[in-house]
Amino acid sequence: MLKTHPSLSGGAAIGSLVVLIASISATGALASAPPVNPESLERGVCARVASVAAIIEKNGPPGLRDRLGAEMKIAQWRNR
Amino acid sequence: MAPRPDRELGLRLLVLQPTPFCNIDCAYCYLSDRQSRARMSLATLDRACSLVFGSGLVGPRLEVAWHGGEPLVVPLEWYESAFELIAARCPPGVEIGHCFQTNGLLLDEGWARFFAQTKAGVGLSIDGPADLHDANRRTRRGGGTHAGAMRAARLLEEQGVPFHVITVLTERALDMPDELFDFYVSSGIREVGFNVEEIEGAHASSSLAGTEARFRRFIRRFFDLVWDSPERIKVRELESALSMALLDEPVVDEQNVPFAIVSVSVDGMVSTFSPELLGARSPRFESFAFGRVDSHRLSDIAIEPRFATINSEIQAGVRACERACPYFRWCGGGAPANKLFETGRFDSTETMHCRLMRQVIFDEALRGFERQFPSGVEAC
Repeated sequence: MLKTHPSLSGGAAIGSLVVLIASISATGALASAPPVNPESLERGVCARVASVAAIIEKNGPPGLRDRLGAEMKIAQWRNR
Repeated sequence: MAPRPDRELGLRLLVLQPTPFCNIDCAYCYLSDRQSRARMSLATLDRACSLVFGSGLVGPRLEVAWHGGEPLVVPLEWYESAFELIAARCPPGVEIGHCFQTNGLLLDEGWARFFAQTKAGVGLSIDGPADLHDANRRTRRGGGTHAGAMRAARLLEEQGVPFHVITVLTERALDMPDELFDFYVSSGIREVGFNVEEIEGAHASSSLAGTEARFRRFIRRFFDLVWDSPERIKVRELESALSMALLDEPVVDEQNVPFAIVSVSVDGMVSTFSPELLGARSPRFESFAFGRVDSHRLSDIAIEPRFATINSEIQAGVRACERACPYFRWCGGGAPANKLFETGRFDSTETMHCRLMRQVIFDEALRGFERQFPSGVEAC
């Protein structure tokens, strides 16, 4: 489960994805990671992101991406 | 047609400068007027509230960032009045969240109680261990400030006030990822955000210029340390990059959206886009103060020719990034202030700041994930 922490930005509280991902990794859920088209490696960063999303989609808690919320799609001013 | 913020973003951040004065004199500071002891009047604050809340652009939540100078040089009593004033002027249905970014030297139990009572976010500026911190974060007489900043951290911890630390990375820090990690953990610091020494405003050069490979090694090692013991420390950049990687939609940078951020200076000048633009000068545009709280509405500013020119150039820069950069989807087009201060223009693309803080960070966040799932990534 995502734990609630105060956000650096003071905005909506979010959990630690690093903690979550590390816990998924520790469970060995990886064996069910979905295959991705090898040609996607040519797409560089896009392919890497697709791989991340696919692994989390398959092995992460249901609805995780929805729970990240709209706030996370905003690159925030960092001097706060 | 007057530019309006993205509907979903709205006017989301109000940056207020209670004073430009800073009680210390950091080597990398971008503020040129940090010796001025001017203080924002409550009348100016009241007009700023009218400007913001009367704009129709504020959504369900507005964050108010008290950013200086050093905000704590203004007495606590002033903030008690200011918070009351903002609460009184805030329309129903709008939630206000306050946050302070402070060097901590003036933080005492009274401030800690105030932060706790108001649930204000607190960011402490601490650059790591004493020798690293004191190399740049000095008093005007050249003395170190680390001891005072750490005293503030301990006080907040004792009082149960949540806080995070912002560390400005300079060239010296790049060889010290383990020392920085150990420092945070041993000091009880649980949340950290990294900024870089930027080429910005009065600070015309950066020790990080030309250090991209070393910066990458630093980030890689630091992120590895975090992945290896993720319960110990939360790093803003790593969390943010992973979140962005999981989203379906492209990222929007709030600094590129007109009026998503509104900045008001101590004397009531109004700006938008990157807050660092307020008070900055440019040969091409002179200043980035687009109006005054006592004589303008945001809708007036939106039709000012200089605003229109700058907004047009900023949007051209975002489009240029979209065409040129494979990271655009997870960046949103970079920060206008960094583009201007590094290249002289807003319609430029890659900067040192974006290479370090957007590209390297994103790469290394993905690499850290791949390290967690090696066989899964190979299968891809």
